[in-house]
Amino acid sequence: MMALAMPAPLGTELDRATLDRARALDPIALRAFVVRYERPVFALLSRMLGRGPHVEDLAQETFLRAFRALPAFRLDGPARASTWLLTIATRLALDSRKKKRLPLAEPEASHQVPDASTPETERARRELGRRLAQAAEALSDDQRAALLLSDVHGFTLAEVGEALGIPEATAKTRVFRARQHMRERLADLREAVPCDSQDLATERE
Amino acid sequence: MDDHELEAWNAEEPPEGFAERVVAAARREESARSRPRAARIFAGLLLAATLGIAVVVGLGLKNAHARGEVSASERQEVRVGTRALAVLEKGAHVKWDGDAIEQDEGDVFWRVEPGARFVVHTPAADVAVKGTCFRVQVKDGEDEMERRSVVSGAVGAVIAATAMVGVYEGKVAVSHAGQSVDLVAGQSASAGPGGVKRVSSGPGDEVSPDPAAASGTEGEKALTAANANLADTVRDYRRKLEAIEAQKKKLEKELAEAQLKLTDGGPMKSEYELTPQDWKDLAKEGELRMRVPCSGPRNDFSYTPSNLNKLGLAPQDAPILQAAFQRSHARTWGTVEPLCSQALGGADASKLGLQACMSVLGEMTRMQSNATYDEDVREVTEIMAGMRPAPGPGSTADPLLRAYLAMASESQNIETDLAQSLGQDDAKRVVYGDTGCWWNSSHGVGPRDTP
Repeated sequence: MMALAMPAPLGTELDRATLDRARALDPIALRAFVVRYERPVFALLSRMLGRGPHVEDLAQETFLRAFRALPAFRLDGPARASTWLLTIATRLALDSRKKKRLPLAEPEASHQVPDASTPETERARRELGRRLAQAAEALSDDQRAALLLSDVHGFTLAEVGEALGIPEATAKTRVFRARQHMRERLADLREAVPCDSQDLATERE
Repeated sequence: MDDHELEAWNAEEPPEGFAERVVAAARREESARSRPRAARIFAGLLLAATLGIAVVVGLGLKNAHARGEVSASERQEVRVGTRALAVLEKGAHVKWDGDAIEQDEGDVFWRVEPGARFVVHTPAADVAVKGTCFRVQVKDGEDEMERRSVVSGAVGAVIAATAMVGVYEGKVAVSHAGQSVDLVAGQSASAGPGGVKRVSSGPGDEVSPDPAAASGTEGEKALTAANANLADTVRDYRRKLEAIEAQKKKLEKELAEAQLKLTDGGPMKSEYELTPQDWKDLAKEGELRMRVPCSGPRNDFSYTPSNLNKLGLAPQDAPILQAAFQRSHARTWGTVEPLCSQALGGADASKLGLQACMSVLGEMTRMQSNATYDEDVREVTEIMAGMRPAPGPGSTADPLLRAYLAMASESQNIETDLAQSLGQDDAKRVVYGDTGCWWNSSHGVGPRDTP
């Protein structure tokens, strides 16, 4: 089985002292906040909506909304800053799809992969990226969001549910279906891509 | 495929300088937020009004001085001290030093911000105000008067001029030689050697040309005409402000509705998504509501990918919905068909379908007795509300009651069915949302007669 369910590590959170200063809207801390989280925000939005100028617009709106709400953000609360911020980005992306009927951009034939070590690897990854985007296009917006949050950004199912405003059980169903769909669409890659022991349908808690 | 490879999924990188742009935007936003809220929300809306008001109020700011003197060779606005704006007509002369303000000639429109007592001294009278708009016209008398600074209390002895005072807002006291007349908006008075006289119509009227008031001197006529022009201007501003106020209220209402919707997290609950308490309320009113999917041989409905996306579902969910709809039809039709066939004397009801059979059962019950029909409807709502038990298997309860009960229970049944595959939220969206094909019906027979 393919291991689409393997979570990507979310990385370290911004340190508490900087977050504290950001909550007081200190410009230097706000900049550090953006620098720390801009990559996952751009990644989420562009994977949800396709690449284009709208991604930067929504990324900026995500951070501005976060800044407005930062003073009320509880550092000791259950939410991590990253999950909280990506929740804002996800809701903005879903809203923009509903309101403006933003079409998903066509998956690009190529894009930059900074860590590709050899031309062969780069080509293979480029093709994989294109296939992933293409397969994800057929998912409903909610399913794509659930898959991204869970399998790319490392949200737990409870966090996915929280982000999408649905019960955990529903989040589980959505992630399961999205993985199933991706697995079916990418079945031909099994031969080309080494598999590990992770089951596509494996759920994380 | 591992997580590393999953990251190959096309993603956009943040552009150079993005963080700086965001922080700059945040700071701009923060500085805008420090302005009064109402001013921010309706800044655009009030622009026109602001421009209008600026004509009256704002233009004098550049001329604000504690001491000064102006002789107007044409219409001129000037800020007098910190609280007053004077609009001088050609030929008017105003001089001020702190709170000592003198208008010894010409026609001046005054707007005074609320605050302490503010007095305009004229050769004919003192005009004292507390935050208002008024106009003072000083006209020489027949005897050429000696012009000099007039100080309160020493005026009456030397003047031979008249002063016409018209009030547009607030309250003004015109006094001369111990005699004083209070004027409110819409009133005017003349002050001169003969004393202070009220010349306009009663309180509440606009300052307007008044034949009685204008019957005297040319000065009075001119003032009356000028007053009429100003009154028109004031009316015009009032109309604009009223229109803006109405627009503001409309926008506030829309904002409140949008915020409420945002807080609620979505559209209002469907009238067919009924809790036991809702059923109790309906039972009191004698109202029955039913919602079943369009399915079965005559009413098959297929969800398009677009419909599915609206519901937050994927194309591969279509068969799940289709199967659930068929099961729903099997449940309702399984109850209704034999009852329908029995009502038709054993005829084959399969040709009629669900809706026609429900009509047949309803009409036949009504033909027997309207009271039975009403009782069936009430009983079904009470059963749904948990106020009475449902008839058991093999019950001989009225056929219409059993058919209505099957139909009324079905929205909950299909919701439960779909929830097993899609989850509770998706199931609710499918069953009670606006997407898809559903047969809704309601039957109101009114509350029970109380003994």
